[in-house]
Amino acid sequence: MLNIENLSVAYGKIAAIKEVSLHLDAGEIVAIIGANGAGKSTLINAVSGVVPVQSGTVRFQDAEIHKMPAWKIARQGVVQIPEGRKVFPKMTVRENLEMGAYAEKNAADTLRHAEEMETMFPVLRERRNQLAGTLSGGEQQMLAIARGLMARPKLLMFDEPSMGLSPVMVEKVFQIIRTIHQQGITVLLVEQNAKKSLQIAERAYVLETGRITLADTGANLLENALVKRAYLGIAS
Amino acid sequence: MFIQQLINGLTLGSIYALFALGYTMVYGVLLMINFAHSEIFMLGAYCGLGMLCVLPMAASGPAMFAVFAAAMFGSGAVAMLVERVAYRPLRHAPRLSPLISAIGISIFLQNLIMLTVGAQSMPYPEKFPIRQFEFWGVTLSTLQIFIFFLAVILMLLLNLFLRKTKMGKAMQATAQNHLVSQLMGINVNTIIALTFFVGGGLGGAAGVLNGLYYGSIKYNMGFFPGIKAFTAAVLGGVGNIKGAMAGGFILGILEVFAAGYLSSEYKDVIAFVVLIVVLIIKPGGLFGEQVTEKI
Ligand SMILES: Nc1ncnc2c1ncn2[C@@H]1O[C@H](COP(=O)(O)OP(=O)(O)OP(=O)(O)O)[C@@H](O)[C@H]1O
Ligand SMILES: [Mg+2]
Repeated sequence: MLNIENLSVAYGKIAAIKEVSLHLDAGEIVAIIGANGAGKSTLINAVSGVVPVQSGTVRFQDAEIHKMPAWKIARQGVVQIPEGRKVFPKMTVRENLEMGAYAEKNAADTLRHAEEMETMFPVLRERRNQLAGTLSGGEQQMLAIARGLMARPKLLMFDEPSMGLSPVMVEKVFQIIRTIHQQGITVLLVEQNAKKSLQIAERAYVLETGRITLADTGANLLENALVKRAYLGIAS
Repeated sequence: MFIQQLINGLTLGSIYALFALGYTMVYGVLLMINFAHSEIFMLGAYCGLGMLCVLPMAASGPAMFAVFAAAMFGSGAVAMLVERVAYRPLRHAPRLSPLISAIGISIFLQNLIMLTVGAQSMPYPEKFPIRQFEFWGVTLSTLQIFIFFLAVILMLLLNLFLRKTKMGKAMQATAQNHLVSQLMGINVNTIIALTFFVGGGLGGAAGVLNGLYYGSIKYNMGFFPGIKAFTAAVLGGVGNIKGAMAGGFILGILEVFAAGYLSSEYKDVIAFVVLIVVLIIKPGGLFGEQVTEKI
């Protein structure tokens, strides 16, 4: 479904992603784990088209999306839930949801879909007319996820959805990701929380300073000595 | 005296408010002051004049509509073109570059009108009979009523557009975060172009109102009103739509009062005084949110 080949991305002269190749099959849930500054956000931002690709290709269902502007990529069904939620702070919760469905022409359909989202995330119904900037971090994350779903994504990419959340909230977010995956949406999960990500993911990649150093099933990586030491904090 | 000044101030303020919206809207989405906006105002006045001259029919509602449609569409289209050729290529350049580009465009547009239409000021034909009402020693003209209500109606329409339509909401989203807006499938370039079109159109309408009010127009007519409208936008908190509307009215009233109670020579000074005082005391504007750097 998604095929990344020899992708390189640089900020000026600083290379952030170096010759990365990876793929996702339809219906899969795949994780990318890596330390701060490994290039995780850069990688999915390059897929989304919001940072320019230096070389390599990104193909989504046979379309060469690295040649498209970001807004067109989103309309292909490649949707990102950005790091740090990035809700529109001065718009209401409902307006944020509407923006998620920007490409949808049918207003009645958008309305119905927003109500479905409010059923899935009841807090969004309670806060419908509240400005998104005044929501708590956990509520904003719910909103960011719901806003992403409003686009009816085929591939949903999460950038550190558990960042800065309480343990209960983290649990809830991973539960939601599992649900979304079970509904048939392909998921790419970028996380620092390696343990939880590897538990949920069918396959995973380890990204280190812009390169993929390991690729295996989630279960195998959980048992991998290097991963244990570097990402799970288990001495071996 | 007081009521008379207030009426005159509201009339002038209507023009400033409409004009200020273009500055504030563009700043909202691009964090850039479009210094060529004063020339968009001027071009609006010329488009309106052109339509007034070619229209064969006598004074009528549809004729007035045609005049404003021509001015707003013409100004909006030029503003969009300016964005495309002078600002978009510099979107990621240092912030000074588009500013200099704006000044260049401004000089170009003034000279264009001066060379093609003329350097003389041109009378704005009074096709529509203006009646004056007098009561309690106060004079109020139908033109003043027209200016005020047209400005208010346009501002209400703008508000409706921003709050109720998808494009309007996308404009707000773009003002808050370009990158995330793109992730929503919003073509940010289209929205920016639309912002210039709408802001330019409102500036054009203000230009026609200015022509009708003062009775004549000139290629450099945008300069002082431009500074005043810019001041109005700063007064209301640049980037803040409602602030620009309120700022326009406040500045119009202040100006008329300064001219009336101090001396008419203070008329143009007052805008600068307000601008400096606001920048020193409350740089975020009267309705100030915190001045924040956007990413
Ligand atoms: N806009 C930018 N300009 C210059 N360098 C950048 C920019 N964004 C990221 N970088 C650099 O690129 C590298 C990868 O950053 P990236 O944000 O992709 O890391 P990350 O894996 O997402 O980290 P984190 O876990 O902290 O979010 C870092 O060295 C970072 O400093
Ligand atoms: Mg990151």
